[in-house]
Amino acid sequence: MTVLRFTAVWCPSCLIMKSRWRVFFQLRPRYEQVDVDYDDDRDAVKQYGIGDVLPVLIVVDGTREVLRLVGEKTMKEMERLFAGIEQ
Amino acid sequence: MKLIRKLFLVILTIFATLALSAPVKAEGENVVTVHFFHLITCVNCRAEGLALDEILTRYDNIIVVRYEVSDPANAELFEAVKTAFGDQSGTPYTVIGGVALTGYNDQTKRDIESLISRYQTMAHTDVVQKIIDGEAVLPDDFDDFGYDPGDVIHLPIIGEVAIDDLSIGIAAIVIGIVDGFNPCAMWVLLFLITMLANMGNRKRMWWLGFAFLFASGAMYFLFMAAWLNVALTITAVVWIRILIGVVAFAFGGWNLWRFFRKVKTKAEGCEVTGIEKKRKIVDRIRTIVREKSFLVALVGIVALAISVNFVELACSAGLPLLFTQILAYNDLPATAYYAFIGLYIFFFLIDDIIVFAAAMITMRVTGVSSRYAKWSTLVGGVIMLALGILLVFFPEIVMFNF
Repeated sequence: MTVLRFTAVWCPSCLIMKSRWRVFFQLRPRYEQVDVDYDDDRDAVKQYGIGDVLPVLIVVDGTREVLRLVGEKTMKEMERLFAGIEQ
Repeated sequence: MKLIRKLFLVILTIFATLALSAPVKAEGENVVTVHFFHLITCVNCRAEGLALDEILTRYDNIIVVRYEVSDPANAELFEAVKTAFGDQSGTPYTVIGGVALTGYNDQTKRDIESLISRYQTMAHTDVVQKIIDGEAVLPDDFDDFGYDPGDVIHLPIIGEVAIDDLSIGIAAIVIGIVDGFNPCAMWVLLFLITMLANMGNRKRMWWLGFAFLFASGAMYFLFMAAWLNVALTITAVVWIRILIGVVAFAFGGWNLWRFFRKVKTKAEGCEVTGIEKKRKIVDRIRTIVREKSFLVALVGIVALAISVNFVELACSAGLPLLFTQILAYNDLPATAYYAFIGLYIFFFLIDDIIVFAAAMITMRVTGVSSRYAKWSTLVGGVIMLALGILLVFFPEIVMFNF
């Protein structure tokens, strides 16, 4: 599965989530991670319908979106939400 | 036996209460003159004027002389009296014998009564009368009395602070912190630190980061000082006070609406707004950081801080405007006005200072969670609503320096 991480350089919440994601995905090496810059990659932003809150994390299985996390999430929240797709 | 003792205590208490509340008749005692300098537009003066009216009904041998200081002759006397006492306070200003009382609150009223009682049985010099009569005021004319013009408390680091000033100080700290969590300009500092951290030049990071914070604070200070000077000239205009109160109420309501919208959407993060403007700022920061000449980079960062804070002022103008308005409604020396603005700005910048210091020490940049921004929207909204209501209906309450 692939994880798309939509962030922007002007977004403090993205900084917070980047450091959480780093720890979180160290324990989940099976996810391929792709960083998407909100300002630079407008096509991907349009394609995935990114709304008006950043950061956004989207998990895709092939072409199918299986999970979307919008905004700041705690480690516990991420563990609970990922448990749903990892079962 | 116990019952008799209790009964005796009750009777004693009733007699003591009656004795204290009975008019103080002081036949044959010294006549005490209370010189009361006031301004017709000053609410604290009105409160003291009413208190003096009430005191007059309870004491026989006192005279209250009122000087409205917008009258040039009274203003001249007021200046002479303040000079004699080595004081530059505003109205209300009360002089009894050789003691001057500045401002007005419940403590002032108690002090006035203490001084009246004291001087009714003690020979004293009426300093104001001496000035009116053109006589020289001597050091012995001032009364030592052991009187403390304002209760003070001792705060760690800060030291002794008058309780009158403490109310405004607390307002400066609370409103400054709440205003500081507004995320409008914080991202610029974070992006700047990120770019500098990537270069790994700690010295340059220190200088440019500090210059950004300092210039941001200076810009805010100038804005608030400018507004203070406008506010000081319009404090007497009732409809402007009401208008500001209504605008504060509307801003407060808008902030509460923003808070509840964030609660409803449940997504805490960065709002995607003003993207083009942000991109331009990002490009400017990149150019500055890549600049080889340190001086050019320094000038660039100061210019960036000024422009960013100027543009983003609209984002947070409500709270600083409201705070300066509150300052203007309090009669304070000019230095105190600017000291309170400085205090406000220090606490406004404190979250930025913490983020910057943490990045400097750890060389890792972290953001401030939007959760804090969300809650500061709520607190800011409530403060604005409350101040709006107070400005319209109970203006005397925002005049902390009663």
